[in-house]
Amino acid sequence: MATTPDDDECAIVVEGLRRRYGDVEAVAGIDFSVRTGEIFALLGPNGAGKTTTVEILEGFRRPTAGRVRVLGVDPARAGRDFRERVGVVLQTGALDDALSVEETLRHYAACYAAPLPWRELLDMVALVSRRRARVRDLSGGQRRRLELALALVGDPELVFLDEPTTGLDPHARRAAWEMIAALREDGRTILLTSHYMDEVERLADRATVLRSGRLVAEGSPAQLRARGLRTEIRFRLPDGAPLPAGLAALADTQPDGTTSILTRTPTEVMARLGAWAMGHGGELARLSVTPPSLEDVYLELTEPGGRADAR
Amino acid sequence: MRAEHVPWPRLLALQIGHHLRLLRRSPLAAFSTLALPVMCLLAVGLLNDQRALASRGGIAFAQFATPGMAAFAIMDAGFTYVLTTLALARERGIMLRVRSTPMPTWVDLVARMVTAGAVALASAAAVVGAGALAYDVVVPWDALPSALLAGGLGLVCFAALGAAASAFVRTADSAFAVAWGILLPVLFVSDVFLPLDGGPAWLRAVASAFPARHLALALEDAFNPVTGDARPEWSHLAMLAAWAAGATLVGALAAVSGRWLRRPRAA
Repeated sequence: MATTPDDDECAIVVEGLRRRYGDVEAVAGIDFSVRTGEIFALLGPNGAGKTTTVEILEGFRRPTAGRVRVLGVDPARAGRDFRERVGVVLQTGALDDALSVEETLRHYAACYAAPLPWRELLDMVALVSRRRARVRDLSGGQRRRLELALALVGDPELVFLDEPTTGLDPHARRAAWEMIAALREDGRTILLTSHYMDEVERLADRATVLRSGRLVAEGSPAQLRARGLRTEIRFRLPDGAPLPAGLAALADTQPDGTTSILTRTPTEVMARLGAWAMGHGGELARLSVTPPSLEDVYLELTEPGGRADAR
Repeated sequence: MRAEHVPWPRLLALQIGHHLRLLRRSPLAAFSTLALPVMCLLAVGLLNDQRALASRGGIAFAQFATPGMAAFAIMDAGFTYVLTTLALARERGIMLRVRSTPMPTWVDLVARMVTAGAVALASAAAVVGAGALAYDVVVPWDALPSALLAGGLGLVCFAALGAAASAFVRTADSAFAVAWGILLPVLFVSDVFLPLDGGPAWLRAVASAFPARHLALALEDAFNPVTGDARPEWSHLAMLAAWAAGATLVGALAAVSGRWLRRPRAA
């Protein structure tokens, strides 16, 4: 079996991946790779192609074109060896309501050659006190935690988490984040899909943004944040003091009466603004400097008419 | 890399236990597969209490209806149970869940068939027991092997049909409607509730194209102390085998296309 050097250090390699449903191209030619031991996030709005991509990587769908290697094999043809090494949190909660938490976990543990002890998993997902409860009686957060436990029950090297914290309350999300971060500490590779920018900033080593089946950005959360987006500087102008021409061209008056400057060179603008302010009475009222958030970048990249359209 | 897997016989036993447990916890499934055929037998037996069937050698109606209802029990456990539980498991994403584990999908499908077989056996035994107790139905012990052969083949046939049909229904709700919408009309023209002997020839010809009538007639032949015998009716068994093969082929094609894993995608 031919492998590229990439395949040896990467848990996932995707090249030229396409998937078509009738006339719709859900995934329109994407390339990325996930290194062993990292948390990699796939971002994008509904319908961007995230779940289709993940399902191809999980071996549940076949690509229309392109090359996919997961743990060194083609997932569409992979057999039981592959399944022993991969864990999956499905987007729709696939559980039997009539079983108890413990029965569910023990049942799926019995499918693997070398499962993690189910008692430890129950403890890890904080469901020990609910072990005898029927799945139908669990809260949304408890179900999601049980699904996470099922993804880990086979002691996988690679875990697919498709929107793992959707529907969780803030406390449960924090707990899930800690759990996911702990998985990386164990040396597992994680592919995460999410709508939540704070989740990606907190967890992901690298992320890629999908829009209409295409990749529109890739990098670490910090790199994505720094993708040429402008920092906003806001302040209230001293009464009767017009800005010098060079700054006035950049400035905009906001409805609340403050002045806003959007700039890609905030340090330089601040130096000029500071020098000017010193000559006009000193401190600027309500001065703030706001760097772009990952959410701003995400919205710009994924909104119709955003930067992705101009490329 | 871990080379070892859980041996498939152990996985099969695990999955059979799993499906039996789910069945025990589903009152609807337990009622419709276990209790319904017995209730139908008691009802039709009561309505035809003093009736003898001249076209079947003058046997009492219950002697005809008991193997008919046993056939119904087998079709119900095979077709209805497999179709509805598979459609429900697919709708809930449980087929994908199973696919994500080292358990081969065929192990799960075989486990569902074995579970259906256990239900069919229990249900058919309950029907025969009820017939013997309530209506003095004679159990032909010498014909039991050929009855079991026909029943077993019938179960495989109807379970395969249920599995194949499940690939074409969109939702679990519609699976119930499809299962009964197909099964019930077929049962009425298949010598299950009433003998078709006096019916129009064209109706018998149409009904004979489907497997239900062949299963019913094979069992009724085994149970008829006057006109029947202990030998298997090969023509009936051949029809059941042909339908089983066709359904297995359709089911295999559906499996290859991924129809069992998830609902047809709305574009």
